[in-house]
Amino acid sequence: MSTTIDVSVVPTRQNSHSEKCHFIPCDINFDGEANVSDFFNTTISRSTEAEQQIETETLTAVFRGRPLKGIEISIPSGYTGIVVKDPVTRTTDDEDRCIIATHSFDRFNFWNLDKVPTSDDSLQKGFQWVDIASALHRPIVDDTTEDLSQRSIKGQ
Amino acid sequence: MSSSTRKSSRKSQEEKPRPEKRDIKNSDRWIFLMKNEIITCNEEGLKPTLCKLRHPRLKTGVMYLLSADCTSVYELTAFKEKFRSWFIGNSVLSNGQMYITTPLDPLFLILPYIINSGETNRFMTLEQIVLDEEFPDSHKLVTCCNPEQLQLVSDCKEIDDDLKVFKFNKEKTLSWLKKKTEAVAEALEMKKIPVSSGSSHSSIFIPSGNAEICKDSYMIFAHGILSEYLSLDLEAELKTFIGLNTTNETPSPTSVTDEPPNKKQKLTTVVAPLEDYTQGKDLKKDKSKTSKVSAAQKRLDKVDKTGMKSMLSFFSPKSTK
Repeated sequence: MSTTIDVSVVPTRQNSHSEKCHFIPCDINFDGEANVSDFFNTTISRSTEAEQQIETETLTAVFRGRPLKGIEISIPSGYTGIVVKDPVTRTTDDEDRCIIATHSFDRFNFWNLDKVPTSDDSLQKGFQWVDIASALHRPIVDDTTEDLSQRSIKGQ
Repeated sequence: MSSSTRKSSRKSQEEKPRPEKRDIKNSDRWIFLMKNEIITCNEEGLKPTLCKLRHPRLKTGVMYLLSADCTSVYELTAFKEKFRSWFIGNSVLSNGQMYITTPLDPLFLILPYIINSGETNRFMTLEQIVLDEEFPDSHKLVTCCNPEQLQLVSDCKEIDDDLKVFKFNKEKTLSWLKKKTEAVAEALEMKKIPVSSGSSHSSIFIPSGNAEICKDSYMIFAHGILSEYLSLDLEAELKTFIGLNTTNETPSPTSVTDEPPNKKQKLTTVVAPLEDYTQGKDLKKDKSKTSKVSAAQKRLDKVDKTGMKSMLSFFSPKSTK
């Protein structure tokens, strides 16, 4: 069994505005079409808060009577968010599959229930993994060349 | 509109009896954070592939992503939080997970194979080394790893221009791993990620006077992260290999600090396979169990029961009289 991801459709980001992604703090036992733009997007309002001289734009919205607070999060640089879809409903796990990236996004709205998202949220902590992983998995350069490069840094 | 809300409420009622565990397979869409080069590297109709390779620590199959040109491996880390779903445009995605694809040093995946082949004490080609019948995709690792990198963990003999053979070298491996640990510790320090056990909150963490101890705890934490890619033996060996160095400088009490809680803090993201393959297996097991029971009953039926009292007779007072 192998699974390929068709990403050839993705690179144009022009359509990403119409397909805004929201990360919602609840379980929804449903998959499929829903009128998000009329019943959720209309409740979003923006406000800027200055905290420690850093202006952050916070969002508020209402979903089924619950107050949501959110921020817009940019995806770590070097990365792109994509939504992939399995075009065929599978019957077994043994088939070869090709899943297709339907669209891409470079930012999304992250929502918490009645609590403004901060850097202590597990998502932002999860994003730290991106940096750690790149340090961890960067190939180690051979001794001799590494010494040279260090020397040149010290030389500055 | 009222009819539509009623519809949706009925739907939620229908869904209710389902157990809390959400079946990931229900949704046919997934959110990935892809490294840009995976998306741009898309030549000649080749596509990035998800394939199952042997996890260096767990020894079981785990999904990894291979770039379209088969030169780099990526690890899939699932971000998972209780109560999360997605709105994508005008649709709902119940699967509130996000898969982050981070680059993976292929040496980590190859290392267990090299160690295995090292036991035979022979030089082998990389193709021979990564041969794995259980995970046929393993051969794809050959193109991911260049021979120079491979020499960081092995001795190499060049038989001719195209043919190189390798043998595991423990000392080289340990010093390679040590460099890795230092690189991670450095990154942790730069990012000011709190590593002292006990506090998971950044504001509580104070990089106080003793910088040495601080460095040590970064190293310990980094070692913990690295251990996720190492066998238990190698993890312990690496610890003493690094530990020796730190005891030379300062015999510090920080080496006592527990690692497991540290690891848990880090693991807000969990390395997980894309799909739960164990579920299918469980079902099969259950089936075999029931068939076993019925087989036993059949055998019981064959037993000669002549002269045996009915079980019921022991419990009825009338028949004993």
